Amino acid sequence: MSTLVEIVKGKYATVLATKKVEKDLKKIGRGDRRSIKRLQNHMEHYAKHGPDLLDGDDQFKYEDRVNMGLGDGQTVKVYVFKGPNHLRVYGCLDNDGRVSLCGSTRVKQKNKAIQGDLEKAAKEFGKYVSGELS
Amino acid sequence: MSLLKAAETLNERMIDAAEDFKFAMQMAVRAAMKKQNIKQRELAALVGCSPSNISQLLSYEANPRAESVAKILAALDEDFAFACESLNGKEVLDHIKGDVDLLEKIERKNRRIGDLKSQLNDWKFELSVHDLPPMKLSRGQAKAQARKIQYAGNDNFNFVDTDQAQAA
Repeated sequence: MSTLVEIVKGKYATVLATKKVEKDLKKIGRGDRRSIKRLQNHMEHYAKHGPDLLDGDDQFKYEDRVNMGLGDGQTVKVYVFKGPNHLRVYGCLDNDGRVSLCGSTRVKQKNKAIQGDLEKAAKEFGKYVSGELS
Repeated sequence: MSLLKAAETLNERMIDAAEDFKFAMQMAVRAAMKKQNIKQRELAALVGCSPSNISQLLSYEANPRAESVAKILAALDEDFAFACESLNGKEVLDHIKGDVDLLEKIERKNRRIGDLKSQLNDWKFELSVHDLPPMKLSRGQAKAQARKIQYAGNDNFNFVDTDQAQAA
């Protein structure tokens, strides 16, 4: 059974999300269409052109290297797609950045990343790598 | 799959259009800045505004005047144009949005035309008396009519007298 959803596919990369992330974002979108539209534009730009022009403060940024939870100590870089009003979607990239898997989302009050969200995103990526998610 | 359901109301369509337009403008300015290797502060000095104006233009809350955007892109020595479906056609718009690679599509069509042209040289068109439209013509007149179809110097058309061929 497929547990991942393809958000956008472009020449550069494919952006995937877990069903939970998709559900959360759709829920936010029902009340705040503008924020989700903006976030989706960031994801579409990444998928079509890559991260070069995306701004770290407002759009797309490397956050931290976090354990994937596979038991062998492997870590993965966690990135964040940023939207307005502190909307954040955390995800990891495969080796060459051609697949971005979004594993957690958060609407925050402060700009500082919450470690639990990064770990959740890394663990979801760990499941993807080990084949639990497809 | 989109994170948003397709815009149904006018308000939703306006929100989507405004966000897409603003984002496209901002990425155009960012791309031009990257190409010229110019920082926001330097661009502000070039245009004659404050650095915070440039920063604000590139932020989520931006709502710049069309004139300001045009001036900034001109200062960055960027060639640009505004396009819409009614004026420029859907294909041009899709190409700008990145949904369709127009140049690749044109190249593909040109290749197809080239293939057809090369095939045309290999084709032979054979006409017989029976292929001609029903007219009350004598046999000789019909043959003469058929020969008229043979273009001068065109080897692709050949008249075959099937009756004579069968008799032979």
